[in-house]
Amino acid sequence: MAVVQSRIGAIFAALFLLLCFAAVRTAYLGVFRGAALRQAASAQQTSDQTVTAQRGTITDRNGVSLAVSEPARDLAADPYLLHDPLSVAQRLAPLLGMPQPVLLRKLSERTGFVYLARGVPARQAEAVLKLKIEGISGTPVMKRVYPRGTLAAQVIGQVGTEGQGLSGLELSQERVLHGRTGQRKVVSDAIGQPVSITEPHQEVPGQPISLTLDANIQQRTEDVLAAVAQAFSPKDATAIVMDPRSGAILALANWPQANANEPGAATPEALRNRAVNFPYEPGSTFKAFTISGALQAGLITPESGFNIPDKIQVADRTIHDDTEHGEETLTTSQILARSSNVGAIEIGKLEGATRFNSWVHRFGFGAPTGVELPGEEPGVALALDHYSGSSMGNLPIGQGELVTPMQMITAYAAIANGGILRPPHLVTSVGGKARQLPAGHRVISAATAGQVRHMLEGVLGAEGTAHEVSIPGYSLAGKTGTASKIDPATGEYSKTAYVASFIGMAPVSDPRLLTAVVVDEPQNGSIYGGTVAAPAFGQIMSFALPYLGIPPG
Amino acid sequence: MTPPAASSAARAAPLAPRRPIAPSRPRRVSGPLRVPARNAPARRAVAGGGGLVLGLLGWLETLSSHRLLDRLIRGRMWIGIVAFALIGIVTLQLGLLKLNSSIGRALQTESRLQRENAALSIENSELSGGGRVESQAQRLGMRLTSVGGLQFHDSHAGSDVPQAAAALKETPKPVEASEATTSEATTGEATSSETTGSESAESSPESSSSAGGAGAEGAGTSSGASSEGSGSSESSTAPTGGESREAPAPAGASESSGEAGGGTAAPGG
Repeated sequence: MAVVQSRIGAIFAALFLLLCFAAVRTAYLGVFRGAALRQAASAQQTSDQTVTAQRGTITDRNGVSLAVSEPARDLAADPYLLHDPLSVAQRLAPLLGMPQPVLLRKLSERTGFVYLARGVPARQAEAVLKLKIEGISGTPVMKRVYPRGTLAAQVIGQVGTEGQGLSGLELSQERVLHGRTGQRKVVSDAIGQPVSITEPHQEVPGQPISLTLDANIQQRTEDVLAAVAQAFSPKDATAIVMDPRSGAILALANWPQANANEPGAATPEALRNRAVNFPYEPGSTFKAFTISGALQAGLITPESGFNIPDKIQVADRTIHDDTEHGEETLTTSQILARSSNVGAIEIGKLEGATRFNSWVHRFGFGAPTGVELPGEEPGVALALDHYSGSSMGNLPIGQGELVTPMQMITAYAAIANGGILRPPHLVTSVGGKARQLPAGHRVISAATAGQVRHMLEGVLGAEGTAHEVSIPGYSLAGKTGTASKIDPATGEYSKTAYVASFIGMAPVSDPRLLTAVVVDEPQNGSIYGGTVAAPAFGQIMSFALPYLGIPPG
Repeated sequence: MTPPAASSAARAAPLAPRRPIAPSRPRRVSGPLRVPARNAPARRAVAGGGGLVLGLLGWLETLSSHRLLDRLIRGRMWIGIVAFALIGIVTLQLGLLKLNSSIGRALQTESRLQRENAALSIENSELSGGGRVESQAQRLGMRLTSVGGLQFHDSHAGSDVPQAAAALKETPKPVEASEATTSEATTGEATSSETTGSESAESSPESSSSAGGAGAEGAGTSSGASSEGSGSSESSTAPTGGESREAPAPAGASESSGEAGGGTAAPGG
């Protein structure tokens, strides 16, 4: 019995000694080595990660992606940590698709940080990081890709290297597209598996944006402009296709083109969106508004007759019609169809400067349209107190004021849709929620708008300035414009530089499509809206009308 | 003979059984009347006015002497309870570790899917390009309908569906790509007979397309508009080409004004 008790006591003593040893060891590690061990654990196990927010996708009206963010990495090197830069360059060059000498030069720089490549697609970057080369690191970023390249490049815009919008919709919609970067703290075990993940700041992805653009109509419009450029070698050109009932822009094309994926390769001119920042004198396309104002005021009717000589004196200026003719009687419809300068000035005189000026502003000229594009020019609409004696000799025929193509098509949309001036828009929805459109306001009555449309049909009729443009089965209406540009050297109107334009709609009874084509300084012997811009209108509409299933009418 | 009383008592005493001697300790005394514990806090509360804290303390004191707790402590059930709690804690920790590990894997999966989604979006957009679709369709023998050949019909609910079904059963003849290019290059000749059978159940050669329509089809090429613009401008029947009627000379500036005799030098005019 005593032996048993002594053995039990011995076992107890041994266990007690072990317990004491464990307690002492715990105290030593926890108290004396605690701080150092905690620091080492934190360095080895804990990593703070930046979670880059995915920028919102931009799609067309049919869901085709026009701008997509894909995960990527900025690959960097610390040359001081590289033992053999040559070997590293040999291994990385084929993976990065870079020449080995270029890579070697970067890896040999006397610096602690150098970018090897930025925005490397994630899969490619992972192949590099899997090599686990000391001194090579990758920072997660998002790379913006524009799958259609040149399509609507000036409209969509570009982003900078830090992911911020620099132009176009990428800039104007930056707030909704950008999202918010998050922070993530990851504690990993000995084999690198995460055992604890906390997000002090959660990443918020950017919201997707759906546009009113139709990629197919956009592509066709750009192709037509490219053909115009090939034929007439202009300085530049722009075209807009719109649904006049809602102000939705179906296409907005510019020439010269730029590849959104390579903005550095494009000239500043190519990156410019002329639809909103190319103020020009509209010329004869403005006559429709001169006549609309007079019709709405009840001063004239489409059948009102005017005695029209081939020239008219206004103050110290003599304005001619395009062709010499004797004095003839023309109706309002004929004045518009033949684009008589004298006739338009006579109608402007009937209105008077005050009334005419009010109509100019009522149709939205002199102010931005409100389209969701940055840098929109307001144009120049002369204030009434700045009118001179000869102002009513040029303003009614579209000279002496500056407008943008976007302002012109917006004002023509009021004629097309029965008299409502609506702001044009490009964005249909943000984050899946339809954007509320601002309500338009009436500028002319539906009857007046109908009368003007009917008169504009005559422009494409037998007597009209665009009589050679037709689309079988469809009734067309529109107005040509050929406006002299100011020569900056002399300050006078140039005799060689013109802006050729055409704005038209179809079908006339209930216009569903409205297209504006503006060509700056066409060459090769043809400068007129009827020969340069109107055919382009015909080609665009020939595609777009059946494409959208708009029946003839 | 009768023994004497004293001796009888003495003799009687030894005959009586001996009872055990009572212990020296005093007998257990019930003690004074004890006030039940439940009354004590009330009395304390009433007496001292200590409120909730004192009441709680009193309740805890009562609980500590509860019979059930007494039985629990003195019994073996607590061993099982503590063991269950310890096992539960360990299981919970293991579960938490597994959860974190699965979160990590989920995040990696999310990144991978994000990457793949982006790549697929890009691929989808590239593949749906109009030029590419047109050229592929042309290779399959399809071509764009001429504007004049497109027919629009009113819908009739009762008869349209069977007619459409019957039309679908007919296999359209593929048109050779070279024929399509040749026929569309000829201006002013497009008729509805050129439309494929799938486009309309009943074709009626009514409209004649202008070259504008034919030219606008793009001639089935991916850069069709380029050829349209240059080709149609030279055609005599094309809607493009030819000068505006009213514009004989650039110097006349057909629709511009202000160029003669003191044109406005500046928009301020």
